Amino acid sequence: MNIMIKVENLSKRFEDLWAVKKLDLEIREGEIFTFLGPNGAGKTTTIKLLTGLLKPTTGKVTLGGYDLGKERINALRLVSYIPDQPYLYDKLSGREFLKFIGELYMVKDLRERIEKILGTFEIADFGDRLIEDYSHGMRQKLIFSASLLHDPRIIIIDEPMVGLDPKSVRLVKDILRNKAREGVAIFLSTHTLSVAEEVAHRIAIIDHGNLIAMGTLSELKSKAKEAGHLEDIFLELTKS
Amino acid sequence: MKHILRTRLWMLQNSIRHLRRHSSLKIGVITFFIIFFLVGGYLLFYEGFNYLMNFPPFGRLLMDRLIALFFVVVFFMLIFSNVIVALATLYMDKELEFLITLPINFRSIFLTKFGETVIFSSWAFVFLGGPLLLSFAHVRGVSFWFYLFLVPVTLTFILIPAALGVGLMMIIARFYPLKRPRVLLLAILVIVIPGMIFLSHFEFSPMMNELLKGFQFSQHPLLPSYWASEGILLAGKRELSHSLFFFFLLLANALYLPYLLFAFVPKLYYPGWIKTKGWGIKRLYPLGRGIIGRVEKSFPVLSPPCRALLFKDIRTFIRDPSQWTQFIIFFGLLALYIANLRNRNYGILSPFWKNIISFFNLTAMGLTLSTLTTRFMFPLFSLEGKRFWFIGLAPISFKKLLLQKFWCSVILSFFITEGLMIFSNIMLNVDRLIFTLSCLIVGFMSFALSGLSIGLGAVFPNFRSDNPSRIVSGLGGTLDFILSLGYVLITVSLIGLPLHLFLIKGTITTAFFHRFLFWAMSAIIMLSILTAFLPLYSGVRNLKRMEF
Repeated sequence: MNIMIKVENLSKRFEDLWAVKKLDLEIREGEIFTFLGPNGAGKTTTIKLLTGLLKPTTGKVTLGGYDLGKERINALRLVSYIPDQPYLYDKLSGREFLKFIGELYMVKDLRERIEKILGTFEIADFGDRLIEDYSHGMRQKLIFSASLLHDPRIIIIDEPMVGLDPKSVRLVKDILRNKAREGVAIFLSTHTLSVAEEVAHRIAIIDHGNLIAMGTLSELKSKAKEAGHLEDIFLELTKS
Repeated sequence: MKHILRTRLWMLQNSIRHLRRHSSLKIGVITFFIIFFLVGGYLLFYEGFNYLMNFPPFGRLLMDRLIALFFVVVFFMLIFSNVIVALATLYMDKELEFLITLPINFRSIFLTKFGETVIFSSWAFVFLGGPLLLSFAHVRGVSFWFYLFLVPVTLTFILIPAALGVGLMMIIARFYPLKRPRVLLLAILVIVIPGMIFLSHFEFSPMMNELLKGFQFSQHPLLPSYWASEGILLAGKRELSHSLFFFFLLLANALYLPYLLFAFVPKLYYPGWIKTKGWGIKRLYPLGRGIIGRVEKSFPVLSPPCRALLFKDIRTFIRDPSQWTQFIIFFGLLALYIANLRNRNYGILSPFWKNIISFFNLTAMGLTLSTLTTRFMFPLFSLEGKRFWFIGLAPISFKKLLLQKFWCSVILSFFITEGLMIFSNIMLNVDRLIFTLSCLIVGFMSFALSGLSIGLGAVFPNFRSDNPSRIVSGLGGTLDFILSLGYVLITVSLIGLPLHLFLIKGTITTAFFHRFLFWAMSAIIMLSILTAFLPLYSGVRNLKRMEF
């Protein structure tokens, strides 16, 4: 399996605060990698460093073999990012937004793909309405639709389940598993520990910018000397 | 109420602290240009008023009338501006959704937002009016009472158009029919057209009597602008009892009108705000339908990413009422200007006046273009800010992103201003040489000012606001406007000098004139290229360094 996300000695400092310290990660094709941590631990900063929205103070990020700092466009062609606060163009309709994204990525057979993906997320009936009329959950579904439109090789998600109804949560989990089976590398940051427990192949826990644990669920259990759920392991490892 | 104001104060304090983090060079450059603009404006008006003082007794009278004209134009502009800003601050601002859920009464929320509306819509008046009024005072040698009355009179005055504008917006929001959006357009035209008809009473004439007659409409005793201008003019002449009368007249109305609005808050504001939440919900926008969809389909010239960005900008602009209503008002004022060029018998004027008027026309077009690019093009990049998580991550370079916006702006502003230039030149019956030169220069101006606005928009982005008026009101927008004015004035001076010396003064030979013209045009081309590309280059560099 090829390494799709490689993070080497990655640090980020905001004035006096080190938000992320000397992070090293490798995420392979077909892997769902879940990133956990308390509020302010450095999860969103890490994600922004992975997507180039922030510049690292030290270290580098390689996506699909392309150095993000040097070959930004080639690296970004492979990526889809789903943020926790989805700002969209409120004055476009859902279909128009998907067409816009599809044309930016030069997606072929765009109309068919748009209809298919809107159908998958059950928002086809709302596709001609302006996004400003969408609920939070519908926006989230639209963003998922947009992020899958160009068949990314890497998906980076910050808090994927916020605002989704239970049926959509199941749908998203199924989609993530299917995408992983197709070889897509998924980096998922979440507070919803049950989701991490259900879908993750590997889990990393970050606290105060430091990576404090990484491994499969059973590896983390042994590290925390807890036989309980991920919630207990998480609280044990981050209690300091 | 005091809690909201205290929060605003904290926000202001934090913004000032944040300002200190900017490089001192950036702050220094902006401060320099603001001072340059204020001092330059003051000197320009000073020269103009001094010139008028050469024609006693008409000069003094004409100066008084000009001040009255300034106030009447500002009065109508402020009403329009307040309608638009009120839509953004009193109805569309996302903060309202938070404030309405707090245990605060609607009147307190309204009052805070009304204050914001007044500040956002009127700051430019204070900024532009300061040099004019101070140079007037200096030339006329007014008494110190003028200065004493100036601040209270102007501050009281701006409350009246603010209350009228906000009141109109409250009525529109409350009674706007959801299923007929064109009614909003109609309502705006109902406000704009009477103002234009009123303003179009002004007639330019080289004959002094007729000129003064043309100013008469600004002396209407029921106009608050007349009370304001008389309030300060009479104070300058030490006629304090009359001056106080006008001040108290202003004050009474400035207190009564907002109080009236305040009284109608429960009946008009809150139900209106609720209603605006439903605006547009019923409308559907099927893909590929409508005029834009059809144009987009038959637009294969551009690459798909560039086409996507272009039509996204067009759609967001057209569907945002706060944008296109300002556009309508902007072009309404231009139409008023063009309408005033009709039937003025320019053909019978002497070459001196014909050339002076055609240069004023070129300057007016340049200034119009400066306003157009600053107001509509500068915020384009900032408006992408919160969506940078997909624009910035799309496989499109920052350079392409900025160039798409730049060329879009060049094409739009070129067609608008070139059309207006040709039309006004025909109206003015100008010489063929001036016709050709002015059309060429307006083309260069479209290019240069588009680059300046788009480039500076990327150098000084404001990602915290989705309100274009607020984005333009910032430091970057102000700098853009000042630099645009500077560029226009330098360009007009460069072309004006050889033409003035040859056509009007006749002090240079034809051969020297041709050489002079060649160098002037070369300088304009160089200046335009630098004005366009330096900010664009800095913009791309800034984007590469920027974090989101």
